[in-house]
Amino acid sequence: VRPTSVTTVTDRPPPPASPGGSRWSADEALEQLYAAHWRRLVRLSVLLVHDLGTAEEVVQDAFVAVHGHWGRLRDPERALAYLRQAVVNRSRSTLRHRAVVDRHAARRTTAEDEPGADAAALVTDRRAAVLDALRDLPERQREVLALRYYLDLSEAEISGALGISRGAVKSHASRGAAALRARLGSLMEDDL
Amino acid sequence: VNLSDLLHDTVDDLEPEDRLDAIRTRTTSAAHRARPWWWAAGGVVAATAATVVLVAALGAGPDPDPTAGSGHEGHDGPTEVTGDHWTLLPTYYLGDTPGGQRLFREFVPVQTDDPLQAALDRIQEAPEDPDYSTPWESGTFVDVSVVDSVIEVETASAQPLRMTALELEQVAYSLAATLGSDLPVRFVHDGEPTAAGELGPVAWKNFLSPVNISDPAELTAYSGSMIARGRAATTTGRVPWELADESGTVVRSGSAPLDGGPSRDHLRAWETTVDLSGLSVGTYLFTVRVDDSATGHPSADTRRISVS
Repeated sequence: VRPTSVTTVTDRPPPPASPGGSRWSADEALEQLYAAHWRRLVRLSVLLVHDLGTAEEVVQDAFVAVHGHWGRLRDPERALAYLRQAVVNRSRSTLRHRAVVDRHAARRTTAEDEPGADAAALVTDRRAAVLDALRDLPERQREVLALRYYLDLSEAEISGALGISRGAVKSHASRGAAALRARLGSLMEDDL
Repeated sequence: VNLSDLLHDTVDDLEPEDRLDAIRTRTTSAAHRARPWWWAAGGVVAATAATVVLVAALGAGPDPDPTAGSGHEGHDGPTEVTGDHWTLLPTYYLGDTPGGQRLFREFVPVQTDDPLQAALDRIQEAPEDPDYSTPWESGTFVDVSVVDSVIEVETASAQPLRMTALELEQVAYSLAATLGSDLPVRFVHDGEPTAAGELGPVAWKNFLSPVNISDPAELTAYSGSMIARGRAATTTGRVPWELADESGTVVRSGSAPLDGGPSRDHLRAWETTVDLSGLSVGTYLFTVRVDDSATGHPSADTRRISVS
């Protein structure tokens, strides 16, 4: 499979040179981003897609994509924002594809969709309970909660990452938090 | 315990596999890399379609080009998969053909009450099959609505869109197909145009691949048999297809009739059933091609499938 890349079009002007003159190559940028963010982004994706194996695939694809888009990003902050967005978007489309497959191709439903099937992923009941509760939330609520409470992003950053208004971020966050608290109340009172 | 602690406790002890080498392999310059086996299969440079789940049971979807003939009977808008707001969006991406880049259509299942916005969002996301691409960065377009029989796309910036006609038509085809219409598209920012004029999903020969697979979706699993469908323009009236195993050996071949016979000027539907019985379990490459295409050059589309 060829790498994801920005389509080369001859009649488009080249991207402007980066202002500071620092010109990371795409390969260097990729390695640094990987070192700094791989684990955290995979864990973010686990909160969204429920299992570790799928999350690794999603985030791997996001890293390949950020490498392909480096010609337009050329900045670590923008690249990280792009990565976060790619992880959320790809996690979402993975879930949607999985849901369609589950609903309409029962014959192809496999154990991987069942909680606990991925031995590497769900090792404790508590973890399973939290991930199950997240999975049952509407997707926007789940995404907002993960970005806000796991990545500690601001409302403005979440608004940018998800392409929704700050007001929407606020309301998804409060509804999602309330739903989680209602479902996991006993767990949250425990000594974690 | 607050939510932040709860989420951290849930995943912070998970140790992901190291995938740096796998990522490096995929990002190594294509010029220095061996082609994957399916690239050379059949000897035709092919654009493979992106991942589409479960289109197999459904039709070829709407055809945005009123001159191109019906893509598939009974579909005059995005195909609703169930009554639960699941919709198969027809979206277009750039892919390579021997005659240069063209648009290839893929169907994406999404759950939405607003298919038009979903289609706009979707074409700003990278397709999952890396052989396809989109030139639109996420966030380029913020909103879409139909105003006075024109699809108006709001761009995030007032800067003019310095993009090729093909790239702009990608948006026009995707949005018009989603509406099941041939409404033109206008790009604006705060009411001011950000691209010249209005673009319609027209002149398909300049923009669309002359052959395209709708089903199977990439890497769909089959056993027994497979229904393949798509559309094409060819003066022979038939669309040759073949199925090759991982060694490139052709294990099945045939040709699908074009619905309505030979066609130079219109994309027409084709459909065939491929017998998979007796094939060993594995991944296969399904290729369709037109050699005398109405656009004057051969073209092909491929899908990998798995036989189980």
